[in-house]
Amino acid sequence: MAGTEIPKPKLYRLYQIENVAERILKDTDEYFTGYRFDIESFITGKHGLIIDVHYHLKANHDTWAYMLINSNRIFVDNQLIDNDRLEKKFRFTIGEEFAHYLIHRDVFAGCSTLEKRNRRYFSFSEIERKYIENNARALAAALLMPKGMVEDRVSQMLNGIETYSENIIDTLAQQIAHDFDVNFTAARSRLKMLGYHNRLKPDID
Amino acid sequence: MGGKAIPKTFESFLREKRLKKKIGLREFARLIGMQPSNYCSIESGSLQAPPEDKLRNISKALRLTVDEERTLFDLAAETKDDIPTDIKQLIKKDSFIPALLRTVEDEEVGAD
Repeated sequence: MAGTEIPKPKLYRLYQIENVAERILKDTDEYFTGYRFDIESFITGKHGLIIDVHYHLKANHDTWAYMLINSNRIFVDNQLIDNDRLEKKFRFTIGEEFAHYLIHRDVFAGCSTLEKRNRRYFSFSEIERKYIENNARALAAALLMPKGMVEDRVSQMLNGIETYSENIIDTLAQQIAHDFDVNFTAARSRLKMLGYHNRLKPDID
Repeated sequence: MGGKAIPKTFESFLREKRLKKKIGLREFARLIGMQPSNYCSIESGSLQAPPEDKLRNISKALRLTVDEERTLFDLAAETKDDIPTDIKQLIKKDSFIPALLRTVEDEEVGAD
């Protein structure tokens, strides 16, 4: 990358993330079963990315996964693949790596190994690194829980309910997590992203 | 451009067939009796092809045709720089085959 300026990571706004997700999810009905998006088949089948194993990645490098853009490979810790209880985390993690592939390819261009990728990553400031992680997390959430589908599902669940209890968000998040096959925390965070924490204020007398 | 595409590698053949059947990595690994991370390493080309019993399981799980199964065995052998297992078995089964192969070799050398 000698002589080439590495672009600084920027924070994507929510509408930009939603736009990217909407564009990526266009004509992808075949990858949905109900609300569940088969992200693994989508990124390997439609986008030709390869999921590879990096043994003891978490233990040795304190990360669950990383993407090497040049080789079109997502490397994942073996535990994340083998442990059934981590399946939802696996789905979200490969979603995040796919997000890097979509929106951070210029930021990580030319990084052909984990070491080179880490060197690049840590050359950015703390706030820039936060941008990178937040963008990826938000886009993964938008892909696994598409805005329109979440809104439809929430309006179905709220149908007939006139007053909201204090734990309404948690109740919704539990159902969203189940239907979209993601962790509760991811579902709750997605509802917050979509503004439900403000839209569904509990009725307090 | 109507010709049938020839798969280049064992792993790309495997991936293509698995994706066509819409079976996830973990589920497929379980179907063929392998640890998902091991299967993943094979499909990504980091590990060589599995032994024959696993190849048979793969063929069964993917419901490969006879021709496809032969391709699977041929490509698997390539990853190990070896002779396909089914050919090895044929050679072992019939003492006439080594003689036949030597005759063909001799004739080819003679023709040169």
